[in-house]
Amino acid sequence: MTQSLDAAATGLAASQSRMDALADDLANVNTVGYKPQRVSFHDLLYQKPVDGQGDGVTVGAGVRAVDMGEVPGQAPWQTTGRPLDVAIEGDGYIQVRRADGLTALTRAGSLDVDSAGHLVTSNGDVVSPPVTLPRGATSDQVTIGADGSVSVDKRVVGRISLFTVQSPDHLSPVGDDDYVVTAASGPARRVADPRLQAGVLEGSGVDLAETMSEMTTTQRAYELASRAVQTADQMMQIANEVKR
Amino acid sequence: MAAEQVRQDMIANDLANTQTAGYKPDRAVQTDFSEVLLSNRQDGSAVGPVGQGPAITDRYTDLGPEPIHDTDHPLDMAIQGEGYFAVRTPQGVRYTRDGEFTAAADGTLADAQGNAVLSPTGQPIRVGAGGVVDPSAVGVFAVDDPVKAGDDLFTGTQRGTARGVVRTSALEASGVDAAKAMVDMIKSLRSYESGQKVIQTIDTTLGKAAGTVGSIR
Repeated sequence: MTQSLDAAATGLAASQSRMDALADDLANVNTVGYKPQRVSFHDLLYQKPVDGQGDGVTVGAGVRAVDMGEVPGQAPWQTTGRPLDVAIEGDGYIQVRRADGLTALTRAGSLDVDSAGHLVTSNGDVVSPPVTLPRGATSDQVTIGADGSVSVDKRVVGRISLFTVQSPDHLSPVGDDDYVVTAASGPARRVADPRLQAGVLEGSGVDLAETMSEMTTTQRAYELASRAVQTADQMMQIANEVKR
Repeated sequence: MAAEQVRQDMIANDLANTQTAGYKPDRAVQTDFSEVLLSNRQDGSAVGPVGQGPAITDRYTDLGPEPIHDTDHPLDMAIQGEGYFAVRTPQGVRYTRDGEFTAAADGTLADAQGNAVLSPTGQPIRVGAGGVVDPSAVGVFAVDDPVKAGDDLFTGTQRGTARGVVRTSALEASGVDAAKAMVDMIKSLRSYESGQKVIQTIDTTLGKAAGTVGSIR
C-alpha cells in the first residue's frame, strides 16, 4: 500500500526538481551567454508487490529526475556596438582565471580592460592565456578580429583563444556564467579556428514561451502525482475503517 | 482489496512518470482464483459455485509508439515507428525508447547514465564536430519480449534491426494518458471501497450468528 504513496511522492520530488530548473532558466532570460538546464526523467526499479499476486507482476517505484547539464548551442545575438563585446560563433568558450584561482570557461563575452591592461570579463576575471594592452591604450582603440586577434590602432597585440571540451553537457556551472571542466566533460582543448564577432553579445539561450509551457506541464504533472498521494491516503483510510 | 492495491501501485507509478521520455505505461491483468463448487453436506447435492476473489496475475506494458515532440538539444533522439535504441550497460546490452543522449568524455554518444549507445553493428557511436550525430549511425533494433528494468531500460532478446527511423532534436513523450490514469485510479478506489463493505457485511453476519443465534433470554 505504501508503495503507491512512495511512487507518487517520487513524482512530486522529480517535478519539483524540474520546476526549480525552469525557475532558474526564467530568472536568467536576460543573462548574457546563459544556457538553459536539461533535466530528464527516468523510471525507477520494478519489484514484486504484496504476496498472493501472479509471478509476472512487478510494480515500479516511481521516477527520478536526472540533471543532464546545460543545453549547449548558439543563442540569438544582440548587437551592442561596443568594440569589447564578443560573441562566439559555434563551438567554444573563452577561458578565464577567476579570482578564486579556478580556471573556468565562459561564453559571456562582455569584455573589459582592467587597471593592469589585461582583458577581463565583466566579473573581473582575467582572460587566459592573458591578453595585455600596451600602457596607455584605452578600450576605444581596441578592435577584436573575427579570428580572436586583439589590435590597438591596427597593430595586433594579442589573441583571444577559444577552448572547448569533448562533452559540453557535462561542464559544471560555478556561477557568474562560468563553467569548469569535469572528468565527464573531458579536458579543455584549444579550438583550431576560433570565430568571434565583435560588437555583439550572445543572448540567453532561454526560450521564454517554451519555458512557460514546460512550467505549465510540470505543474500538471505535480498535480497528478499529488492526486495519486491523496488516493493512496483514501485507500489507507478505507482499510482502517474495515474494523468499525 | 489486495488486487486493487497492486493496481493502485501501478497507476501511481504511471502518474509519477507522466513526463518521462519514452516511458511505457503498465496495465494490470486481473484473473479470478478458481471457483469452488459448494455441496450440501447431508445429501451431497451441489449448491453452486463460489468465487474466491480476484488477483493480479500479470503486468502488461503498453509498448505502442507515442507522439514525438521537438526539443532544443541536438542529441535528443526519438524513434519514429517501431524499434529500440541499444545501450551497453555493465549488466549487458539494454534497450530503450528514451533518447535523451549526451556526449561522453571519450567523444562517444552515451545515455544519461553514461552507457554507450550502439550503432546498427553494435559499436559505440562517435559524436561529430559541433556535437551532432548522423541519425542513420544510431542503431534501431527489434526486441522480443521487452521487460522493464528501470531507468527507462528494457531487457529482451534482440531480433535484428527494426524499421523505425531516428529523428534528432526530438523526444518521444511518455505513454501515460493522464485522464485515463485518473479514471482508472477512481475506479480502482471505488472497487477497493466495495471490498471493504463486503468485509464489513460479512463481519455483521458473523456477529449476528455469534451473538444472536442461540442466545437465551
